[in-house]
Amino acid sequence: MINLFSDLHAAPMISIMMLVPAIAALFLLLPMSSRAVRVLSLCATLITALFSLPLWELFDKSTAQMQFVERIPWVDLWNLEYSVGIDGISLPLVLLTLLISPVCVLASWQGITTRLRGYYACLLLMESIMLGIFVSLNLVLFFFFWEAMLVPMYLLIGMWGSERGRVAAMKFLLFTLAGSIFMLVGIVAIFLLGGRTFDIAALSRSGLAQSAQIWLFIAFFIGFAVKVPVVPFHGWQPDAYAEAPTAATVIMAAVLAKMGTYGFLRVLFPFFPYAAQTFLEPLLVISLITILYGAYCALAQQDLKRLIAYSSLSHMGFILLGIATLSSIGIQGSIIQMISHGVITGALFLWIGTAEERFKTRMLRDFGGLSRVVPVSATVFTVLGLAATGFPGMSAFVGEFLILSSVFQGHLIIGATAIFGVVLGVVYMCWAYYRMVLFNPSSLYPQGVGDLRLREMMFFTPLVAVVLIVGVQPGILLELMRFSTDHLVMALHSVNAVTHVAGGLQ
Amino acid sequence: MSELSILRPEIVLTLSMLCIFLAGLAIRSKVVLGLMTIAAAGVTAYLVPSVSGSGFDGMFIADAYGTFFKLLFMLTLILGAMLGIGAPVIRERHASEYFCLLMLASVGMMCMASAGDMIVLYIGLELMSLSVYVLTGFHRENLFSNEAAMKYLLLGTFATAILLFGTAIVYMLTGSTNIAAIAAHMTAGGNGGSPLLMLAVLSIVVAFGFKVAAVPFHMWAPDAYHGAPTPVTAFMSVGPKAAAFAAFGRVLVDGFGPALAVWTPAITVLVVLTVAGGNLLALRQDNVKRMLAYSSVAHAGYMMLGMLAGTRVGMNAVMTYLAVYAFMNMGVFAVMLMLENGEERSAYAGLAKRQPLLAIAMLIFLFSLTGIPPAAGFVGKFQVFLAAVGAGHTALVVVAVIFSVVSAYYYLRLVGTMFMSEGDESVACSTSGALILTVAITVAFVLLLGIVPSLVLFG
Repeated sequence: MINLFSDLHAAPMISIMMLVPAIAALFLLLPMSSRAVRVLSLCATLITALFSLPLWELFDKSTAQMQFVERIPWVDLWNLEYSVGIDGISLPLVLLTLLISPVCVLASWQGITTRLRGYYACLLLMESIMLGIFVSLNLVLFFFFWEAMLVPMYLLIGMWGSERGRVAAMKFLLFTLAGSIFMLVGIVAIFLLGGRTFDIAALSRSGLAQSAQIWLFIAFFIGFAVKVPVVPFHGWQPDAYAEAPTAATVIMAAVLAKMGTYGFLRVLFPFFPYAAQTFLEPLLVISLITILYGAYCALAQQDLKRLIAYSSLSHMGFILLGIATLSSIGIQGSIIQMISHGVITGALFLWIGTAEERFKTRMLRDFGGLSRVVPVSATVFTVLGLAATGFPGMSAFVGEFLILSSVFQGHLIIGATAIFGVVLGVVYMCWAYYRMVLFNPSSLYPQGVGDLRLREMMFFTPLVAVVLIVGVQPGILLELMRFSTDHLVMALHSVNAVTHVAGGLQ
Repeated sequence: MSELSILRPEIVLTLSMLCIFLAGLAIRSKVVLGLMTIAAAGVTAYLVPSVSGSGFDGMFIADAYGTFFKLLFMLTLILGAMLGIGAPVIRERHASEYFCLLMLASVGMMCMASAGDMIVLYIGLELMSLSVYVLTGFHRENLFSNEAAMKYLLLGTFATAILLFGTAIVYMLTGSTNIAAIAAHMTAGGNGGSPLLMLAVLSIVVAFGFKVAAVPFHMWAPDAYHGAPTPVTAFMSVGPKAAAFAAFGRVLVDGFGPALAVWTPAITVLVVLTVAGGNLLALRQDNVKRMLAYSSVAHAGYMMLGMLAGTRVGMNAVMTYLAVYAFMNMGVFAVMLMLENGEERSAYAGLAKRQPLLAIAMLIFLFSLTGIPPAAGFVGKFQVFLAAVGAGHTALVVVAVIFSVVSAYYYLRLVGTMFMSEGDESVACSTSGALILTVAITVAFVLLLGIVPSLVLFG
């Protein structure tokens, strides 16, 4: 294996990986049959996914350095390079993107019947853009992808969503834009304050003045918080998740939400360690509110997609909670939870998609007795439901356990309250499970509803496999990121120590 | 004679204009006359970088700053001519007048960009304005077009009168109308804080506000933009606006740069009002052309933000913005011309189904106008914000970006109409090669400049 890929070290692997889906999207401009469109898109995403093998094999787990780095001069006036690279924090997210994209193509195989070329072009562009966000090493490139993402996503929700998709798409776009423009002002300011550079590594070492850190932290926080989303910036989320076509919902829940939390780890905390320390308590409280509010709202939902949307909100709160502890364990737990939540929530939305295709409804009250009608499908839902509640042996358990154990060290009350979130999570999942799988079969089911098909099993299998593997053997992920998270936490605390001393001297 | 040589581009363009005017007596073909105009613009653009220096006692300056603007004017002239060739509203029998007026306005704009003296600025401004007034009323059987021209003429004359008033006071205070002499006087600390200086500078700012259609001096803009034939609207939303920035950049930044504190508060107020007013009023427009008129008002606000830095660095940002803006705004109007009844929102309904490529082009223009990368509009906004934050106007930039979210709503509502609603299948789409070419060129540049910003960054 090693020999097979060793030549690739010199190749601009990351750029090629990002370009494959984008080029395939360009090919979709040509007229072709709908079957060709689907096959081309699937091939493009699968070829891109193949890049995970050399990335996995060649990635050096014993360093926190950026790897596979490519640097090309880009804009001299801005002192800007095209620079991409991967470290232990971004690699899991890149792998998640590579996994989710072919799944999304497969999941749209039958559900999408109109304007296929545009649809798949948007999906493929989304993959390129998502990869771009996780590998960018400078703020301009990061922001470039961050904003560019709005275009295909807006079209996906608006054009292929349900009737109210157009409104939801506009809401999604305006919320995200409103958040990211504050980030834009922050980027401009940090360029001028931090020594005229956009390089993320250089800015992480720049040691900004404390008052500047506070303001810039707020500006960047709003940008990232809208994307996660964090209460009170979540107004767009339930609508967008519910109205979007299945694949778009999966992308939003599985990957886009992670862009926000990734921003916390890559930009927000390394740049503004003093501010992060200052806002530690408010951040923990906001995460807690997000957990409880999301779970509480999920209890009241009839629409299954909205239920999972709110549960996703609640789980994102856990991820933020772990990050906000500023401890290595908490951050590792959060990254595991990012992957786990991406896979589990993604799979749940996919499952809802398959159910909706069969039963033409998403309302809890219209379901019942699925275990008798579609046993295989019901089994998949059982596994996913257990995974979502954080059942031991599944990936979410590992993530939540690490997060909560780090929260309990020092923030006992917050940790204890967060447990309520877990309990509420069990309550709404059990209720939904009881209502859909165990209750009496609905008399309204269409005739001749079939169970999961091979194509559908094809995308559930890898997702469930990841859930179980990470749940039983979290070490594979942990050892990827250990050095990077340790490095991050060390940098945070060393800078904090310096600023504390400086503060003491004043 | 040697001094005349720095006027070479202007002279060539004027002579070509006369030739085309004479040729128009014999040739009635829009395509031929249009191609002649484009050729003349091309030759002029070729000559522009070859001249440098200043002449006529510093009244006329050919420098890199002027060169950039002149090239931009040639670009708008070429695109304006192409729109004229493709648009049926410009009749074959009036073609030579259309092209001649475009060229004459361009000569005026070139003088403005090279003005080293308030008098040259005034002459250039009048030449440009008079040509554009006529162009606004070019659709002479159309009452709406006539009304627009009349409004524009009256308010425009008012503005130039105010400019003259300001210039007269400046002459009284400094003893010169030369911009360099004014700067020397200001640096020496003359008249610091005198009410007369304040009045003079405010008059100049007001005149400037009129010309770039800054709120509250924008009243003429929506009517003039809406009433004018669409190719003219496209031209005047870019060219004259750029010329005003070029000339007033010289006056305010170079001339009154040392007296920054006098005019920046006034421009600050204009920026806030323009960005807020332009975007909020655009929100309420049902007519697409009128919406774009207000959006053009709002964009002037973002450009003024760059000017606020009060330095050439700030002006460089304005130049970047203008270059990008020229492509995206011309592109939007080209798409509008391609659709039958393109001023109405209904013409865009379901465009993605009927003309997918045209809809994608429009999508790129609208996202560019919103300022979303990888479209070039982002580069302009980013550069202007860098200049303004660098000069300490962070709060103002925050206000500006908040209103850019408002602008996203009305631009993307149109995207929604194109991509997410069903429309009338029978709406015709022009097959004019000139228009298709214009759209193709502008789209290519909007994407190219977004990905390779160095092409329009000046440092």
